[in-house]
This record gives sequence, C-alpha cells and structure tokens, in this order.
Amino acid sequence: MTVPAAGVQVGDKADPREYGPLTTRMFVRYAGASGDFNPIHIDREFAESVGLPSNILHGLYSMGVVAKTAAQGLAHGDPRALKKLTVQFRGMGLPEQEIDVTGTIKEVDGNRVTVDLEARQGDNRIIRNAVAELEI
Amino acid sequence: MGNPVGTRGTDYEMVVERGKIAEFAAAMQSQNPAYAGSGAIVPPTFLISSSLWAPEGAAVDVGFDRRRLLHGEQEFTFHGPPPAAGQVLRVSDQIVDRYEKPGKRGGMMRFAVVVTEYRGEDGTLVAEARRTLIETAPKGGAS
Repeated sequence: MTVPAAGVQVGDKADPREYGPLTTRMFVRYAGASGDFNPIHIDREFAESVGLPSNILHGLYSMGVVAKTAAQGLAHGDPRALKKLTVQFRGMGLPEQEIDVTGTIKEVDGNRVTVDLEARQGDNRIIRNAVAELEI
Repeated sequence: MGNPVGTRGTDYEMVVERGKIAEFAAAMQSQNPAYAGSGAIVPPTFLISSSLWAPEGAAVDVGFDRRRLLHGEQEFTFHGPPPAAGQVLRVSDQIVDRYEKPGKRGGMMRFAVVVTEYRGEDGTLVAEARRTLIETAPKGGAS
C-alpha cells in the first residue's frame, strides 16, 4: 500500500545534480578528510603504473554526492532525513570531468521514501543501483 | 586465507570532532549549515573516517590480494539521528559473509562482507556501515 507523503509520489524525480568538474586537488583533500590515501586516487603516475587510465575518484566521494542529491532533491537539503544509503561501485570516476546524479522515487510509505539513484560521468555509470531511504 | 565469517576486530573509540566534520564537509564541497557550528552533525559518508581512529591491528583481515581488490558495494544505516560533534562512538568491525563466484574470464572471484558498528557510550547502536570487498579472479583464469 503506497501512501502519498509530504507531497511526493512514486515516479517523481529528484532535481538532477551536476558536480564538478573534479580535480586531483579535490581528491587529495578528500583523502585527508577520509583517511584513504591509496595512491591510485592521488598519484597519477602510480595509478598509470598499475594499469589505470589516470588517478581515480574515491568511490566514497561519489557516494557522498549521491547522498547529497537525495537529501537536496527530496528533503529540502536536510541530511538528517537520510536513514539508509546503499550503492554499488561500478565505473571509475576520473578527474577533469563532472558527475551527474539522477534519482527517482520508487516507493512512498507514510513519511518513508525510497529513491533509486545513479551517478555517471557521460556514459560511464560510476554508481549503479543506489538506493536511499529518507524520512521526510 | 584471511579471517573466517564471525571474526570481530578489536573495538576502538572514535570521537566525533567538529573540526573533522568541517574538514570532511569542505572536502565534499558542501556548504550545508547542518555540518557547521557546535551542533554539527556528520555528513552521510563521514563515518568512513573512523579508520583514522583504528589502532594498529584493529581491522579484520579478509586476506585478499590488494592488487586484485575492489570495493564493490557500500551501505550506511542510521538507526537514530546522525552522530553529532562531541559524541563518542565505539567502533568494531565484523566479517559477516564470505562467498565465491566464477569470474567472467575464468577463475573464482572472492567476496567478503564486513559490517562496522558504531555504538553510543550506553551501547546503543547508532549507525552501521556495510562494505562488500571483491577479489577479482587471478589473470589467466588459474585458480
């Protein structure tokens, strides 16, 4: 049983959000903030030496922008609304490109809203099958 | 081989710091006021930084070859309000699942699921992080 909540309904889309363009400087800053100093994210020469096209974005950074889209698009920017977020990391995020995030409401039950989301750089889907549960 | 399902890491303390929240929010290019001031709450993926608090050897060891290691999935669950600046959390890792699947180019891919629990000082479960790690099949399909 699906009950409309807070003026949203199944099929509604979160405002699509664009982040970036990303820079290696941002990756370095995120490495410091998160504690993930894996050189594949911050050292281009190292990343290329292990067969990557470039240094690559932290998956958790892309997860963060998915969370931001869910909260900003559907909960008036209140991150407290987010109760659960699950993502699958599938593509490599690259510097000098933007990230586009889209989301669609899949289920509404009282004040509990479930949203399907995806993050991509062009045709490269870097996060797939993301699901956010919000209380709005 | 790595630790079996059920293995728990040593638990450790994480102090949720206002400055660290501000640093993390800035690194995410966020200007959300929820992350500023004395009542700052943590951004949704902030708890990943608990690794900075982990003493040597506290993490569970899934035993995967780092050169073939992928981070396949990640989940955060908040059981109440998100942790806020000043809160002290007890953090512990546990391996909750391990399985294998045939790789697309032969060989076996190995999976491990690790849950990190974040508990308040009274033991209440505040949040959980669940990550699925993948070890890709060795090159050449030999396994």
